[in-house]
Amino acid sequence: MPDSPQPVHIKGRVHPLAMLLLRSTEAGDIASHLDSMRGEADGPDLLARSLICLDCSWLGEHKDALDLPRLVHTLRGAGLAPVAVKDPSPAQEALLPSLGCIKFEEQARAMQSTKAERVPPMVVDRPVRCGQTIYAKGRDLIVLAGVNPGAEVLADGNIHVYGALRGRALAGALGDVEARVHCGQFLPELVGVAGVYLTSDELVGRTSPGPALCLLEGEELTIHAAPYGLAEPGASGKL
Amino acid sequence: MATVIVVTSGKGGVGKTTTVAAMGTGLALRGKRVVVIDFDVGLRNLDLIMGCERRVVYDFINVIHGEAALRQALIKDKRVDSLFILPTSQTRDKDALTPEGVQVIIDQLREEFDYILCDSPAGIEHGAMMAMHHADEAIVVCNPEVSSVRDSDRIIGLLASKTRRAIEGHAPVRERLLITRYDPERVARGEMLSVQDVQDILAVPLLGVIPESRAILQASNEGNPVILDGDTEAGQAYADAVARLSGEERPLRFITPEKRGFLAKLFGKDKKARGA
Repeated sequence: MPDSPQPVHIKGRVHPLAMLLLRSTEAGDIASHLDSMRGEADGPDLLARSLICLDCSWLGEHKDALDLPRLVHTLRGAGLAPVAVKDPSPAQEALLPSLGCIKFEEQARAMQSTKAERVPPMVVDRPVRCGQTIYAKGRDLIVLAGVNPGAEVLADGNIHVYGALRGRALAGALGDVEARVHCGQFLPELVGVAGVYLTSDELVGRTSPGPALCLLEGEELTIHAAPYGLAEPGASGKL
Repeated sequence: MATVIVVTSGKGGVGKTTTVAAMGTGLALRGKRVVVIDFDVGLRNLDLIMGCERRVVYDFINVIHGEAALRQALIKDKRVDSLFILPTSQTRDKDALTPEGVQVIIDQLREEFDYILCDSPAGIEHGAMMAMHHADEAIVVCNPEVSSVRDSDRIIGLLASKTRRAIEGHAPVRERLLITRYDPERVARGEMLSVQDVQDILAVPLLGVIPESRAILQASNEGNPVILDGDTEAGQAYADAVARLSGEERPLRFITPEKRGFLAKLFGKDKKARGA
């Protein structure tokens, strides 16, 4: 899409964070111990590919004995990426912005678990008929029948149509570029994901009498007919 | 207690009034007490198709406005006992139909009849809504072509959301599909949607398929419901549909192209040309 409507797009992504539980207040000891672990399976080579959180909770009241700026700079010098500190002392917490780190909040873990909670999809068990609009807000939409010409289905998540998709379907209505449209027969008037859409005019010769799915690959909306085999280029029935 | 059936389609000219006349007559021929009501206010047609236009004195709207008693407005059919016609006004428009007024009349008719057939106007405006409002069942009339199928689809959606049954949360209106003006030869040539094509989209049980027939126009002109002519394919197809409506099983007929003999092909004769 040449003209993107927004210059930037925020996406929630869960990224693993390696927790480094500190059991010494000597920055030099910590660094040299990590250095001695090089080559081990769970050693610094693995850490080099992760974001790191320094966990001060074990240190208790001795936290302030730790020279946090020195430890952060030493780790960075060794090619690691400390980005957060858990349980810093108030004095250390004041230093965090200057170190380019954030305070690790338990809240963050709570948010992660909310995200993992499954929002049940909206299920429609009858045909979506001409003139009807169905919007699955904040969830997936499953239509057990068909979506007829002149009907419109929208979802913030994925759309699954077990029958024929003959009307309009817009997945990722709030901009989720990972959303997809699956259907039993692909004969839409319009299909779109995250604001990128194709009209039936642009779909001539790309409809399918059998199951098909539609997703965003980069900025292009692509359509694949079953059998999918998306992993192997050439094996997929890309339309 | 009567069953109220709306005959509706969304699109105009697909055969609603013809269907009301034929099905109403067919049910009455089976001994049911039937009244057919014309909801197409301003475009009075049902009385013409039923052949009683010269006996209309009072109409549906007069009764709603209290200008006549229901008994005065009901016209008894001359051919079939137990069949009555409630004609509509030609001079008023559809806004003359009020939900309360229609309700009173339907409630009165429910006491006296087995079937109340409501002939809906085309479209999805006030008149069509009034016609479907009290329905227990619906016959959705559809021609085998794309725009008619789409309009029927729209109407089926409204039956499920805007009728009294839907609004008051009762069992949904029982919908059945009647495909009219079906021409098997054009279907075979790919010029017309097939029964299967229509059913794939509408997904409603099939009440019947009425073949395209010259007999229908002739019957309309004569004010003689086509079902009374048992020699015609259309009349027989309507009789089958009435039987299915009454709970009988009947195989579908007239949906495959007729095998024509060598001579018929040579001289281009076909049954339709002979008015069957």
